[in-house]
Amino acid sequence: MKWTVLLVGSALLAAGCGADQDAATRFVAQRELYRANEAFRNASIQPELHGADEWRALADRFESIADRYDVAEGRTTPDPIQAEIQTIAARALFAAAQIHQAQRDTTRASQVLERMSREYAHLPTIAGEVAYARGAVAERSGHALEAAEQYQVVVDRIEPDPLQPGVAGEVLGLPLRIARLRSVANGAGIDRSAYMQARLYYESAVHSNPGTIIEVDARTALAAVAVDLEKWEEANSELRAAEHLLLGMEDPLRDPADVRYYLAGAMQKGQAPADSVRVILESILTDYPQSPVRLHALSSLSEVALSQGKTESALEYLDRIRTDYAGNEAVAAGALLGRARILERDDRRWSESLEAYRALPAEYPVTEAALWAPVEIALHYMRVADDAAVTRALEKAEEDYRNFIRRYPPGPRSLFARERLVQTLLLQDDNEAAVTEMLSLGEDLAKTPRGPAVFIAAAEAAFAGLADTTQAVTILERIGELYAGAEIGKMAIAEAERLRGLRDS
Amino acid sequence: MLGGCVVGPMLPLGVALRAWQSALVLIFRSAIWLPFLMILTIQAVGFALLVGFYHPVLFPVAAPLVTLLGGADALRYPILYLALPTMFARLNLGINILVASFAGGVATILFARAFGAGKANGAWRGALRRWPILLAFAALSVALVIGTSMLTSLVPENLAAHSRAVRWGARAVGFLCFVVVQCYLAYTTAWVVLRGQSFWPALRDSVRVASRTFLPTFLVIAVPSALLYPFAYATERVEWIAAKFRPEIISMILGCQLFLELLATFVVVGAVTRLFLWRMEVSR
Repeated sequence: MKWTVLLVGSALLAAGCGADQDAATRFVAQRELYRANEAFRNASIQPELHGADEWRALADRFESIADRYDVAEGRTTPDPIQAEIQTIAARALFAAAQIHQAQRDTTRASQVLERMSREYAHLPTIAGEVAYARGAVAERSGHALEAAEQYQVVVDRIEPDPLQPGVAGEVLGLPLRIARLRSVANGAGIDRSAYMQARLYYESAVHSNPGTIIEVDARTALAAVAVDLEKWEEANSELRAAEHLLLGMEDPLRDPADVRYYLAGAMQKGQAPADSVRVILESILTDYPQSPVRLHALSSLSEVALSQGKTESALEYLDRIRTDYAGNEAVAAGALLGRARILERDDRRWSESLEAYRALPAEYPVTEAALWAPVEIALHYMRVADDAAVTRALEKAEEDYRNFIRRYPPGPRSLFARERLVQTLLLQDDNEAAVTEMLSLGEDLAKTPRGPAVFIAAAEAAFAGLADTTQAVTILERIGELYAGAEIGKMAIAEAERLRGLRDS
Repeated sequence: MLGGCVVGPMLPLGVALRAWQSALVLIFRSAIWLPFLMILTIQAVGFALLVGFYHPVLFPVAAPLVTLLGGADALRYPILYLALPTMFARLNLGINILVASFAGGVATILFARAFGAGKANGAWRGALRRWPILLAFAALSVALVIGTSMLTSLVPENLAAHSRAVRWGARAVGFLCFVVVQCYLAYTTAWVVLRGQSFWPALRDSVRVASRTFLPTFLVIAVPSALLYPFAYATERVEWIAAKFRPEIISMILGCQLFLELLATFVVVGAVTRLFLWRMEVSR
């Protein structure tokens, strides 16, 4: 027994001398990241319940993980375990950047991403993910060239894998996006050399991945390249090849109807004859009757008919949507709203349009389409300059929206109704009530992308509509307080300062 | 007197209850706890090495142990906790064969003395002398338990995946096989350490005694095992537990299981020794 214990102990100790202590560090780092991610997931279930301080604390927690476990900092050729620890640190920073971005603190988000690209450039996946995030930030900020450069880093470093979540799944779309961004940056139309590069990339992807989903997606992207270059025949041929490939697959992973629908879109964009587009769209209805794309095809058919001046035909397609998708209230209501809008364009058919508008709240009361109806009726009377009818319609719209808000519990529809109420109040020139409603709405939407726009509209209405500079300054200061780390917050503070100067002078 | 109770018309449940009672009466005798505490200490050290491998002091010994029992991936979080039940079960096999066999022999002698049989001294030395045979029985028991547990793998996977009844049926059969194997081997330790028998006679007589007192033996072993079954079931669902709660919960479940198993083992060894002595009294 004594000898057995000694033998086993010695063997384990001997093995332990060769073990890499970094494995222990990796374990602890993985545990901390796992727990932080868990906290992030829990907080993300209802983000509105968590204040800016809590989100900042969570971002700090992620950053502190990166600080603690950046054990291999400066080592550009780490061994596999060190590389994993670096990846953990980088992922923690990435999560911190995501939180800063969600909190609209673009300065802090950029700083974190900058640190990532500085410290982890030697890790291909991380470098690719960072470049993708920085590209997205640059694209959103309107810096097309910078975005294109960052996306190029992703394309150069990460192999495309459309079935993977994350950046690998996005890679295949990037060469086309780069070409478009470079064209925007040029400011002189299509950047042919950028498109040529994209085309070479996709052709190489087609040849290296025959019969796979990568070939399908690369062919679809080649078609998009051809559409941008106005080579309609080429686009058509690539899309047909992609659809043919999908139809030959046992488990296609993409809906072939999608490709056919894309083809119709490409033809429409290429100013192909409307009848040809219509034939393609009609073929989706017959060839893929169960596909979700069918609904889009019907809607596009209505638009195509309308563009040809075939109003009755356009209305028929919308009626088919209402009949075939009667169980989907939002879709059916959208089709009825479309019908009302088409009829509203023809003054002779206003009574039919009005009938459709009035049917919306009756048939589909809790839909966005129904909430558009009262204000659109008022807008029609404004277009035909019937002042008495405008007043009546706006009063009715205000009453309808207030009733809706009272009757239904707070939620997305109620918020939409409040936005329409603000629109109605502004149309009535009741700026005081509109500002009050916008301030309340702004607070409720503060954590959504629509929040800042509502507050800015309230400040504008207070300044221009009510000539109340003090209230406008207060509102701008509130924007500065709510979005302290974001550009919009800084701009609001600067504007408040300017208005205060105007008022005091 | 008590032997008369066994062969008489007394219900097997009554016998089992009396056997458990006899063992439970001795629960505060510290001397009897020593062999069990020895097992617990060794298990606890092994468990601590597995769950705390990343600690710098333990790492040189613990990391190779984790790699040996769970593979290199078990050095990662949360995989360590997902692999923990398997790793601990493997470690326990070794502990059961090497340590628990000996500790069981000591405990049987100590219980026998407490029930008024055997000599006053030398329990540890007596068990040590018979240790090679006890080791062989422990190895046989482990081999039979593993063998019978593999019977459940005969159920087609897709059948088990689609039917809850099939899954629970397979579990019930596995549990039943485990208890039956334990029943027939239950008296081997007593025959070896109390009667000084060698391997084959001890095995033959253990099967014979178990057959004659099958229902009480079955109950004495099956009931504590059934009470511990929820822990065994929980360790089958580690991925669900880790996803629903925290991976660390798995180590807490195993810790509780370890402690409760010790109590159950105390009661079962005591009760089996009591049944054995009653049987011997009757035979005389």
